[in-house]
Amino acid sequence: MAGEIEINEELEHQRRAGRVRIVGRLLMAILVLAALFGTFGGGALSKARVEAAGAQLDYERISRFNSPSKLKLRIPPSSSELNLSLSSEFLERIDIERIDPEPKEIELSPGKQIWRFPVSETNGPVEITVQYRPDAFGNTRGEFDIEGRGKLQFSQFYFP
Amino acid sequence: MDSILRGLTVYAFLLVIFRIAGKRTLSQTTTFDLVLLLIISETTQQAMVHSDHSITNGFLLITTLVGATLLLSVLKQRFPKLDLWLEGAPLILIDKGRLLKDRMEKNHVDVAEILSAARMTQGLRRLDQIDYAILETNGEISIIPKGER
Repeated sequence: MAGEIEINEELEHQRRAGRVRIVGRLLMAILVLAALFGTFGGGALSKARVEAAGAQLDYERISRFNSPSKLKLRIPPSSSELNLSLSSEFLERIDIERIDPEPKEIELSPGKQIWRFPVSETNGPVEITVQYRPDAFGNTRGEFDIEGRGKLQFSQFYFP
Repeated sequence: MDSILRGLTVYAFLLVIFRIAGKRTLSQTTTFDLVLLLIISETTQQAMVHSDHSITNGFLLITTLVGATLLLSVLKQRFPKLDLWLEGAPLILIDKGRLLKDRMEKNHVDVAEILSAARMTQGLRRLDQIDYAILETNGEISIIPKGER
């Protein structure tokens, strides 16, 4: 009751709720700022690169379920055919939309897939892009084996 | 299973975010509020439905959302504290003709909005005609004119 009007204001609760609201708004601001920097993928914090045997892989450390993501490979070929194998563990957790260029052949092997690309010149690195969408939540590990010369290992986190 | 969890997660998130935003958010239907509401509903729909556009999924989601609302209303009735946290309580903004400015500031209500509510609901012309102005739990401002008992 307050004055002549019958009303239950619950002022103590209103004060507490006001404080909670301020904290909540602060958290909202932090969330948006963190997202701008790529904490949830698609920003500076989420970009990563690994190198092995002269090859290079650019990927996103953090991504989100079903949102488009890319793996960019730069590999110096050693012969007229480039054999690249990718772990099944990773393939099971993503939906590949496109491999550019398309491999000439895909060979199935226990625990991995081997992609074969014909190469016309071996005097410079070739670029391969894999476009995909994560099909799972949580941590995922992947590994590209470049003709036994080296392994590009990477790990990603997929937000729901 | 997946769509039920999606539905419940989105429901809980919306509940929290609108409580944080405060009573006045989207309580008015200005053109921009309407557009914002449409954008939020479209974004929510995409997050909930994902790529499953089947009738079954639609039925499951509707049942989940209506069920969650029913469950919450039962819980709110049983636990008044929960009701208070989810719905809030009304707050007096004008008390016997006196403006409570700190309350108005905290709830982002200005005199113009109170006057607007006074004009629309009571046909009042001036601030000194208002005895009480109350910010209700749904974000609306109710006005009690002077001289009414």
